[in-house]
Amino acid sequence: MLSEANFEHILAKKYMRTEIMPHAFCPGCGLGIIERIILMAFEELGQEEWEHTVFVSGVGCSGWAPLYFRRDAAHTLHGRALAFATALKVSRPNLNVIVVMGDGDSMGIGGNHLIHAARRNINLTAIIATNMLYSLTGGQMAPTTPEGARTQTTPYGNIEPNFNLMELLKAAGATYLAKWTTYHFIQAKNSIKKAIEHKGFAAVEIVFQCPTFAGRYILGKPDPRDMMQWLKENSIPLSAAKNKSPEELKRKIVIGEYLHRTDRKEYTERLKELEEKARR
Amino acid sequence: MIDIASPVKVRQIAVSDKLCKGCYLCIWACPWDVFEISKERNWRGVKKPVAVRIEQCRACRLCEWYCPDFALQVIVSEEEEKRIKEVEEKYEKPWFDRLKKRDKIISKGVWWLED
Repeated sequence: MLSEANFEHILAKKYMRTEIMPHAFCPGCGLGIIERIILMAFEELGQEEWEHTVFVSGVGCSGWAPLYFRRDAAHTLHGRALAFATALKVSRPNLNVIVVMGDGDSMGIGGNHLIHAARRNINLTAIIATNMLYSLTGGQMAPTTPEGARTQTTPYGNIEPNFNLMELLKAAGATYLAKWTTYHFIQAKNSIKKAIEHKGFAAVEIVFQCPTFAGRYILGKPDPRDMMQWLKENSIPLSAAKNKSPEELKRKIVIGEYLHRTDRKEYTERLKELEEKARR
Repeated sequence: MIDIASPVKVRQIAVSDKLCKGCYLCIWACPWDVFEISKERNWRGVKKPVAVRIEQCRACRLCEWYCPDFALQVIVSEEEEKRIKEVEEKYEKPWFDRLKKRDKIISKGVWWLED
């Protein structure tokens, strides 16, 4: 029998900075589950891949997530995580660069970088953790807030329609797209594994529970258990969503693997070709 | 309440005092009603979940996977316990040694001029 006083999970012992844990997230926050999904994907990929990985994150609750790994991590300016990661990938093409972003980094302030990284089709793995509002600053409206939802800055209901990120990235030219929630755990792990192995811009959106702000203001359920139940009941697989009207899909999360194409050329390969051409 | 003994014999369900924040997602995730909230608070002020009906546990590990704080692990056999200790030796100890070395260098003052 092991002692419970200072017990840590085996994945935490293997991969995480246990000296600064427990981490700074609220009780029941889904970012811990996202960390675990990433670690489980690496557990299957092997130690070799883990040693060639760099994490880049922006500002926000999600920016804290990769800082607990025993890997080099860059905590960059708000919204500029992808710009930093692009430079890193161009200078060191043999590294796996994993970018963990939230709503603000990916769609709010850093929306332009996301579109252009997808257009270039650079070999990055973007893990976009969305929780329907800006939770680090106290629950303001974000681009992913559902229509009609009440937040701190929209007390009479949100009048803006929210982003359809997957369609946006498909049009911009990303080559691997998947969307899951923290409830769909094994599927998300498999998607992240595929995204790391994939050559080209891969984005995995993971909707996670924020019981403190999204639960309290948007859903009226401040308990993380109720929020997980909500994620379970309100997500529809892509195949089932095809024959439903937009009216029925209004407050639902459409999950699944959206896109996997291999016909587009990768950016660092193009750059290599250009270098050879210019040298002649 | 389910009252059927499990075909799998689980050795221990370890819930950490250090890491558990008391979100009770493990209780929500458990399909076999193994956990109960303890009546006393531990030294961190958390009423942590306790596996009172461990004989019903099927080792499906849903509680382990949905725990956001890496606080909980289902330990099925002695081998798994050994594996945890192995990982501690192989990965955690060198890391802490490195940290200690770093702290020693920093405490001298002009740390970037030393080894």
